[in-house]
Amino acid sequence: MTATSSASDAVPTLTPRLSPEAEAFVRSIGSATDLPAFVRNVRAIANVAADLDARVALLEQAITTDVALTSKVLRVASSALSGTGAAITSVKQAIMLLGYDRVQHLATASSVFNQIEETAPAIKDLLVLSVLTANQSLGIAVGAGYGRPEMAYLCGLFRNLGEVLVACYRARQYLEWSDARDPASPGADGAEEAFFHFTFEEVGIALARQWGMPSELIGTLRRVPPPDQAPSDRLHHITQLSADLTRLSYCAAPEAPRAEAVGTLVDSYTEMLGVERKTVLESVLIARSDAAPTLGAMSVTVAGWMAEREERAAAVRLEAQSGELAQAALDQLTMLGEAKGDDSAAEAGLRAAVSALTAQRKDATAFTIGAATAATLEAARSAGYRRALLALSTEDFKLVRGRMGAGPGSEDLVRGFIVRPMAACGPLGAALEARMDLFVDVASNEGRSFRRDRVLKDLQARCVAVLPLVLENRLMGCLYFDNGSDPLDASQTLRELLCAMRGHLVAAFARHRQAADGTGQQDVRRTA
Amino acid sequence: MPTDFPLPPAGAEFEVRGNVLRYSAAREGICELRVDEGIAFVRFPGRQDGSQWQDASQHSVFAAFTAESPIATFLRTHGIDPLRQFLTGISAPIGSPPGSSE
Repeated sequence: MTATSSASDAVPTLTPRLSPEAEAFVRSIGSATDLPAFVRNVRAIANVAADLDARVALLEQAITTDVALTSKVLRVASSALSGTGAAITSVKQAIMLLGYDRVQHLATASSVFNQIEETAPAIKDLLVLSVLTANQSLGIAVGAGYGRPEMAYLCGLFRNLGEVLVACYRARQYLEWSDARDPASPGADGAEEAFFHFTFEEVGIALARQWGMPSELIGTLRRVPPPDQAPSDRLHHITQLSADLTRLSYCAAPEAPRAEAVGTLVDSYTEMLGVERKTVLESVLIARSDAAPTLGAMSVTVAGWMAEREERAAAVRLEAQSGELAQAALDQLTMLGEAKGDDSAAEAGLRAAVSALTAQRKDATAFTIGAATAATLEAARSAGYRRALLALSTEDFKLVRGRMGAGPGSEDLVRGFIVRPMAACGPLGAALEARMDLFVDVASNEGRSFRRDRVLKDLQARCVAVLPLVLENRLMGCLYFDNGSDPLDASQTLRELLCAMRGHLVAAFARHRQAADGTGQQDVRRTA
Repeated sequence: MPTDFPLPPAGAEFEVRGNVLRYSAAREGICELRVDEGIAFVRFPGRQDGSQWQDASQHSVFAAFTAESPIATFLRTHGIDPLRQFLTGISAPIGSPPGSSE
């Protein structure tokens, strides 16, 4: 198929109602594509090698640099020989069997599509959805006794052409728009106009016209209301019903009342199409198996794709929840940092330290693990603890070891603090395993079980605070404060303020990790 | 360059041999089609240089679907993906040297 005008020509045949933004998008299609190096190399073969043997050798050389492509070519060649008992073991053999042109075409198409998938990560989902819509359209058409099921298939396949093209050619913007969409709602057609200044529908239609697609297909690219609201031809309604079924079945949030919405949707079409509700609903299920041959070329199975999609949605939900929780925690920390009239001197000092760290979190350069640790250890000491320690988990998370201390004898503390975070290894290990905060006076009645703890015994500690550091459900380490043999009355306010300091420290770890991962996300999204 | 394939005349006989559909077209003689990796390929065994598989033009594929031809059913059930082929085609017209229109 060819475009009706060359790239350099104006596009006067486009619909006159096209917005300037839509027209600019349509003109940009294909013109700014950088071909993969592989394609450029393969295309150049014809210019550098005149005879077939030399061309075959160069093509073989180009293909064998890509393991996945090599495997694909060998697979296709083997399928061509299936049943003969012969085996294809080299790319050269495959080229000889399949023909130079066919292998070149397969290889370049595969390479181009890999590049599309790399630069437009949303495209895979959209293509799977299109194949499902196509197969549903086919099933509905057959069930409704509509005489052109193959055409219905084609219309279903291209129904979302505009969105597919935008996802390909405005990949970054598309992801931005997609991320900002309300996940609880699959969205209605046209909602994208506020973001892109054109609709998917208008650019899809314009490009379908430009590329000379069948007029009936172009007619179905436009959204049509259900038959009771806007009577149209059956092909158009079948395509629309199928597209809406896909949207409700695969794009709505899991908590949305799908069954009811699907039922209402189908009921609005059954009379006009002369199809039973049961038949339409069955077509959704049958489409999943009928899509297998087409999706196979993309190395996709519907079950695997659905599982992967659900996993991604769950991660997004978790991220949103943790973001909300973390923001609430940050608000709480801000409130905790506000001075209270009835604070003791220790509490007032600690509150000021919390407030200072809250302010520091807003400055990406100043808020580091080192700065947060030093501030926390010093704050604990100013609150009355003689020694303060940061301990971190080893890489395998089997031990928590002292790393940085403050106060008299802190070097011995750093060396001597080695805890296995397991209940079997004593009360301290049990508290870390359970991620439980401890404020205990070992000399008191409540603290008697801790007297037997080997680590605490070695450290000769009496009043002890242990605050686990947990990030993304992993025990990163703990803060440990003790007061030697002296008693210390840690008030509830003081405990809350120490926990607030710990919260800041965990946030510093989270920010450091994000910087290392290069995710660039806000720290509040992970620190709940 | 993508190759057009003809639609079979009324009453034409179809034969499926493995993954290949074979039918007789009026002027073009025997035509064979197959689908690999979502792409349709065509060849004309009766022609002098017809033993090589060529990629089928999207125009012909669309015509098969529009005409409700058994060819469309064969291509569909063997995994053709015209949308993917379209995307690949507009991104880089396969078979054409860079800079030229198809």
